[in-house]
Amino acid sequence: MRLLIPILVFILTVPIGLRAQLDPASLALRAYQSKDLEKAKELIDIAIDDEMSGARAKTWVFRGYIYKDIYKLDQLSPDGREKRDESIQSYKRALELDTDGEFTNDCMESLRFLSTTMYNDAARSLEGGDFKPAVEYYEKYKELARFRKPDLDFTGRDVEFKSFHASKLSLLYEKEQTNNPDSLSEEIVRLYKEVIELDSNDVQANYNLAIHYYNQGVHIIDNMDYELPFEELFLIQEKVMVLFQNALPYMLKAYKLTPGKSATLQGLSGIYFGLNDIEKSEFYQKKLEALEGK
Amino acid sequence: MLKFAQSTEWPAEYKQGEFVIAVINDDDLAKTLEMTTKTKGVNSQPVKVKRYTSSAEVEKCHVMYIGGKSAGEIEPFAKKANNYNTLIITETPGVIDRTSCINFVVSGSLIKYEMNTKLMKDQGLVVSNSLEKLALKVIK
Repeated sequence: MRLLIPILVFILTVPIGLRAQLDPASLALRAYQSKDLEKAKELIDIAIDDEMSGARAKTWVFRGYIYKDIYKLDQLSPDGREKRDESIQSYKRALELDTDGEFTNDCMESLRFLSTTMYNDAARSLEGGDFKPAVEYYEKYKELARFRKPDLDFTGRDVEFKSFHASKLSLLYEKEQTNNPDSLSEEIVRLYKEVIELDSNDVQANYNLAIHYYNQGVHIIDNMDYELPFEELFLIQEKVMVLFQNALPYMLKAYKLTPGKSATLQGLSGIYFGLNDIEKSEFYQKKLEALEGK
Repeated sequence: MLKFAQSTEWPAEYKQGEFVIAVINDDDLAKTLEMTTKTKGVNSQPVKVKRYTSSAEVEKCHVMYIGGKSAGEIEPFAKKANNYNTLIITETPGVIDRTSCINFVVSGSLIKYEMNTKLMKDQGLVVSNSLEKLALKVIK
């Protein structure tokens, strides 16, 4: 108790200018300027808990910057990504408090940068085969991009992301690197169909979906056990036919969009052959040979 | 084809030595059969695939597959095969009535088959009843 009194006396008697210097937000700025980001973070976190500082947009903008800079030093770790989330929340809070619009441009520009990093993380995760986080990052990217521009059209991005996702899953499927091929196949089909729904003229999605169905059929035939009873062989044949029939409209669409592509002609010839329509299979085979100058 | 061979019984003198499958007008099929039967025989007999280009070459065989689009192409080979206990298999419309034992046909998009059990009996072959049940058409 004896010590408390002098301290209180000291606080109450310090000049206003010095009190401002002791304001955690000001101290955070000082730490930030001297590139001590950890110290700046500690101080700005104290500042936002202060009733007055925490009610100022400026404090939150500054917090956004500090957390963003810490994230930029460590972009790939979970800890670094947590800092990014904090930065985003800080900018959002700043925008709520910034009734005069003084910091709107700065906040929006930072959020644009951070949303781009979300998209890059989504792409990086897909590339590395981490599909669940990839989708989560992509959804976060969209949420943030939509926050900045509520009318933003995601069609192009969705097509790009889903196509890449489907193609990565297809690679796994073809290499038989899965314990559950049926579920993986369903996922691939769903993604390509979603792409086609977004853009029915996407040649690659139409072609890839057709090839996926076709390859499934061929895979079944190649692995067919001829010791099976006739009844089962017929059932397998029916299953394979359904796959070839599923493939056909998508390959025809791909052909319609790019009639001069040899892969599509080859695909059509193969699908019709599988469907036992030899006449049409030969028709496309001849077109292919003509195209290749044979 | 191998499935039909497995479901058919040949006279005793055909149950020894190589199981001969003759292929006419379909080199791709001959190659596939060679590959498929490399490690797997038919009715415990090792398989030998032979290719014939003329009916004059035809010798004793267990199965003869004759590719061809018309009865005219098929008949000379079938006629020679009739000298042996041969299961004649084709995929030409209209030949099941008198030339072929088993004829593949496309029904919808599915490959099915017709059977001529009378001709099979004439060839000295005994066929499993289950094959008849699944056939699209049976000539008795």
